[in-house]
Amino acid sequence: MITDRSVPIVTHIKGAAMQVTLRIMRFDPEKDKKPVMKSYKAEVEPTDRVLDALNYVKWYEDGTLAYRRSCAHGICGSDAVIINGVNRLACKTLIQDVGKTITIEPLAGFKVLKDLIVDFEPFFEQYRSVLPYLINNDPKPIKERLQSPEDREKFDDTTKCILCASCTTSCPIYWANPDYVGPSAIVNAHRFIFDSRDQAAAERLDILNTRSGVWRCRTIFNCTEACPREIEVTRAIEDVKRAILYGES
Amino acid sequence: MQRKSSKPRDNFELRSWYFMRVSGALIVVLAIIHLIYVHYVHGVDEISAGFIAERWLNPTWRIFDFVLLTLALLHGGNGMRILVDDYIRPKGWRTFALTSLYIVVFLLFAVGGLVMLTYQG
Ligand code: HEM
Ligand code: FES
Repeated sequence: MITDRSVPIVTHIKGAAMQVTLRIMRFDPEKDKKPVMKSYKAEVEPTDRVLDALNYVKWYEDGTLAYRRSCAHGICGSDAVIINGVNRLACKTLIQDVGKTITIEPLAGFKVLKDLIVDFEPFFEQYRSVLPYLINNDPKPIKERLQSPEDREKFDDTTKCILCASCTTSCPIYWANPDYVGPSAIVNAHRFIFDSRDQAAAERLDILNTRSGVWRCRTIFNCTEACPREIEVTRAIEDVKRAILYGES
Repeated sequence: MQRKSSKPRDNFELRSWYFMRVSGALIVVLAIIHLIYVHYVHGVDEISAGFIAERWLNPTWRIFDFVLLTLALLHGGNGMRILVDDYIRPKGWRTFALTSLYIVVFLLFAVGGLVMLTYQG
């Protein structure tokens, strides 16, 4: 029986195949005025993920390192960080794809709380602002609300969002202007705007047809490149712009 | 995807976005014509007050220049307004930048437009 819970249950990491250098941006709000870059060595397999290397550092080198992760399988959206300059999920990025020196920084555009942990609250507030849930005031049907495969296809891509904020924090407009609702909120609005079972498209389009809405987008495509779920984010934003444009009377 | 919204729509940003595209497309055409005529057919070393006076004897060129000036100022001015909104965050500085921008655009338009419309040769 395991009684010492402070020892993580890992079997394969110590004595692994290669050594990598992790350069991690550290920030302790109680001590530091500014973030500082610190270097660590980690022993990992080429097929391990960057998350495994972070775990190695936390478990064997410096237990004060703070970062978020939950599912470790690219589903929960907890561990988006900047890896060698690009937004990636640490749990979906293999060591062999990023080289032996790996620079890891917290997402840009949010307040850093500690090390790699940023304050997601403004992001979730923007998410909530687009009414990201089904709105249908018809009497409830006895069975499920039916939808044709063609109608389902219209928003299939945007159902894949895991709210990791990789897209929003890769957008230069968002870095400069925190009022911009951001690509992720638009993706999640798209999810319902183009759903034939939903009735609140007009409200959502009004919310996005503002100074802080879709018109701030400059079609930079960083968001599409950053998305770990390969959602065509820029296309979703253009779909919404077009819906507003052609819906205008 | 239905149901009309109750709030009156403010389409200013939509129109601004649309205008940037339409004016951009027009500016390409006008700027190319300008470039070919002034810089290629004639060349900068030929440009003098006399050259302009002769060219402006033809009212079509006056209208052409006036349209290009107006479009470039509205397009560039509106583009700068968008950039200021994004990049100058302190409220006071933003108001200062926008006020300066509108004054500069207005002065350039007033001086340029006045000359083009009233020049007598
Ligand atoms: C060759 C002709 C031109 C074309 C096709 C063009 C097109 C465009 C378009 C489509 C935008 C909107 C970008 C966006 O919303 O993502 C834009 C923005 C802008 N344009 Fe032009 N434009 C032209 C010439 C000019 C000229 C002559 C000026 C200066 C007088 C100018 C200044 C600007 C500025 C300041 C912006 C704002 C940039 C931004 O929002 O990021 N453009 N242009
Ligand atoms: S830990 Fe859940 S997405 Fe990476």
